[in-house]
Amino acid sequence: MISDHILKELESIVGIDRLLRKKEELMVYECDGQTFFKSMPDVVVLPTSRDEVVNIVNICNKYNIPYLARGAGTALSGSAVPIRGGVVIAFARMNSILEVDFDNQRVVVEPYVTAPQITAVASEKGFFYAPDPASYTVSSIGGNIAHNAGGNHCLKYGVTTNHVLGLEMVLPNGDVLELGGKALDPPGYDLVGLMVGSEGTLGIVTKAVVRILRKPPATAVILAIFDSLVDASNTVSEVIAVGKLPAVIEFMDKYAIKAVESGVKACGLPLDAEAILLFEVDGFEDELDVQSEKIIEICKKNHARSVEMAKDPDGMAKLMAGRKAAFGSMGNLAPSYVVDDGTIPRSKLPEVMPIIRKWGEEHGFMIANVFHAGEGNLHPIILYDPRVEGKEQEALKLGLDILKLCLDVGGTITGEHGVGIEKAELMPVQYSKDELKRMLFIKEIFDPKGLCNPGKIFPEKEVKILAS
Amino acid sequence: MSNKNSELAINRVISNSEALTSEEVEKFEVDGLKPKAVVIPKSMEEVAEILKRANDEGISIIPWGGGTMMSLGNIPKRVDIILLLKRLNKIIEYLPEELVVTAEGGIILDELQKVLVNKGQFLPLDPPYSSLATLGGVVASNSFGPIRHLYGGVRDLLLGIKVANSDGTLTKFGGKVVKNVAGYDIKKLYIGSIGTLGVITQVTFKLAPLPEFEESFLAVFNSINDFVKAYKEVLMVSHSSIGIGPSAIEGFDPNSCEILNSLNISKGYLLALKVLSITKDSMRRRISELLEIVKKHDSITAFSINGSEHESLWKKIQEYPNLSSNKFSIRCKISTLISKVGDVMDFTQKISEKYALQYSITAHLGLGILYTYFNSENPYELVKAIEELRAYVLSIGSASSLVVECAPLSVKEKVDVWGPIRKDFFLMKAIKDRFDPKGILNPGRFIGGI
Repeated sequence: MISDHILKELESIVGIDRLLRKKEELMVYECDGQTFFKSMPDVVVLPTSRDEVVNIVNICNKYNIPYLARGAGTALSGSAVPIRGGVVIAFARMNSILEVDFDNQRVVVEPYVTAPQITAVASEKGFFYAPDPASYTVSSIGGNIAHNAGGNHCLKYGVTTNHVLGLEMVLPNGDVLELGGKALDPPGYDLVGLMVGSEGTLGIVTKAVVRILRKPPATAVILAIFDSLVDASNTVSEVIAVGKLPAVIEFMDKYAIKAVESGVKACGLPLDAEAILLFEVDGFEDELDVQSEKIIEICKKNHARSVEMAKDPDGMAKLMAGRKAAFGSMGNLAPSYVVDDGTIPRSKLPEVMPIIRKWGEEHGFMIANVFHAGEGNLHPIILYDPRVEGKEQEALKLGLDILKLCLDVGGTITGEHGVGIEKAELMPVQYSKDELKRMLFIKEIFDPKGLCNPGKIFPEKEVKILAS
Repeated sequence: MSNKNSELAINRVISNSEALTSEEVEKFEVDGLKPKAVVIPKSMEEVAEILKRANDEGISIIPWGGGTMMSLGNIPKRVDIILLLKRLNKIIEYLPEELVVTAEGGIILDELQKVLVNKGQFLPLDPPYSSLATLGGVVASNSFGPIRHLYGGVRDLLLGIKVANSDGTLTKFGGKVVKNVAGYDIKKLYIGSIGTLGVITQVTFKLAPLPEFEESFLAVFNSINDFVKAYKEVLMVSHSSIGIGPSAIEGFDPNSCEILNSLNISKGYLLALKVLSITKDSMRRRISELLEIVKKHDSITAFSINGSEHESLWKKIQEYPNLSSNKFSIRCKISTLISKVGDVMDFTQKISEKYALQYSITAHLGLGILYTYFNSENPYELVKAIEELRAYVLSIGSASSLVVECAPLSVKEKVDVWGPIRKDFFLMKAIKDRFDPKGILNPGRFIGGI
């Protein structure tokens, strides 16, 4: 609990209007997009400037109160849950685009700006901001940076870390640092690279310099329908091997199709298909045809039942509709689900996809798969009914088993969602103690008091053993 | 340590490892300092063991890949043992369908490329000296070349790294998948850290398919103003997508444009693009669009070349920074705003005239990175010119910097090659102190005396 005089001090910074402490107000902040982990903050503050953030951090420091920065709360691993209570610093009021610098192809933003907002201002001169995680219409850049968010187009355009060049941050000791900037390669260790993906555990980002790219002149979408999981999986590897790098390769299996087709947003996908693949290619008109032809040829060679292509906006939207509706349609199949994001070498898809299917059947779970196949970034959606005793725990455990399978075939436990609370226990499986030790060195250097988003990424037990 | 004791300590560190004879050791030096021994480990485990023993004995270690960037850094505090990594040259895993390769750190870039090109792929890094440079060295020195414009640099392409640490452990960060956010992105720290945190023994890189069609587009301008206007417009309309964007947008001043000697065209400010396309028609379209832009800005010559002429031109551009092949003694890397490249070129010319230096300038225009080359009989004038140029670059702000990448000792003794530290330096120092507590790895060569 935070005492009244501390609340008064916080109030003196943000004012009574931007300090939340009623239970019904705080409940919004007890979890993120991964709703299994819940913990109430003691207080939520909504700063409007970097200086306010500095003052808040200084107060937390003075009284040893844990704190964390929160964007839109769409994280999927529990990284935005105030597991030890304390102060949630919510960034909703720091949402300005500070500068659009076309000459240098950079945009400077406050943390609560969204990717589409950047693209909107950039598109005035034909530019866009590339990273587009599924949540990107609402998720904040600050959160994207904390998780090194991916998205559909990262096969060709990379992930968040490739597009963030500078950060202004408040270090846990209250210092304001400028890391990197609009220019590349500042001498020294790459602290911007280290901050991106650190899940808000090393400090708080208050400003970011991001790169914008010229929009491709045109795009085309290809939808291929398969009668076998393995054929669809092989197609992914072959398209990559042949040197046609699409901007997007997305995968949906039969349960994902079923989810979409059982709902009001039915897209006319065949219910008897085992899998569909969606490709997006970009370039000039004639270049679209050349790229598409090759992809279509590979799909057919791998026994695709049908292949369809569209270059007009309506046609493309129609082909993409199923993928867009997939996650939102899962409620048509079951009241709840667990989704992880283990990533595997793409060539392991034909081996891993049938195993996931089999494990689901063995445990009596329907597992729908909708994922970024081009990057081997799985999203097995384990569907269950939380009213059935023990099912939730069993689904969570199966999720972790699938992540271990990802490690066994040379992959990672998380491709874009982050470790958070959810996957912390798997960190010692993925990393040796010498490796974890070096990560903990970093945590200790940046946050010696351990107040900045505590209890994330590293399992408590491990932290204690390695610290001793 | 007395000489005798230090000799004994070095022998204990070398132990059973293969070492060069004292005659061969003579060929190695870092900023004029000779090592006491040169050791050639055969495995990553052996590298780790040597580091552990060196750490126990307090002996300094300087990792050495192809030796092409050994001029980078301040004068070392000590040079005890050079660790020659050329035996760590195996490809560990290459599956074309992964578009990813894992290899040991001592493999030579061009040797690796030969294997990849056979499968229609390549590692999209074109640093100078690629026939000698090792992958580990490329990472440690953050080396790159013109095509970083499209494909990104080491920080965008490196997926995983395995490092031997000074405590004798081997640690791996990242992996062989293209998306990975499990834990802190520690691998980023090793990029450009010139071996001050660990010895890079293995790396995994993202690859790219070879471009379908590729041509050079060249335009020469009489005035720097026309050149600047032209490159800014070219940048605004250039796509940044693999396959369709130009992979390089380079600029040369009238001195460096001698690269074009063989093409027999007049001297001036040269704009050179590596234009990519997926079809022949779209290549023609792109070239004619570029022609229109440069003509609008009064280019005196503009044309495209392809085939072997195109290839040999880009080989020359890639190797231009090699000081042994040009007549300069100093190379500075200037990172700044894309929009300020013209101003920095202009300032460099003025400062060179002021101090009567020979000079030339090249630029990766889309990256905002320039290289300035200088020569003079008089080291004092060189130092003054570098300091004035650095002050100018720093005044631009936005993280602009000047690093002296190559310089004779007479200059290095008077200039910090990395420039002033920033406020975040204390974090860097703390990282160095935790990762290499005794400071045996490349002591003194990195920023702020690290």
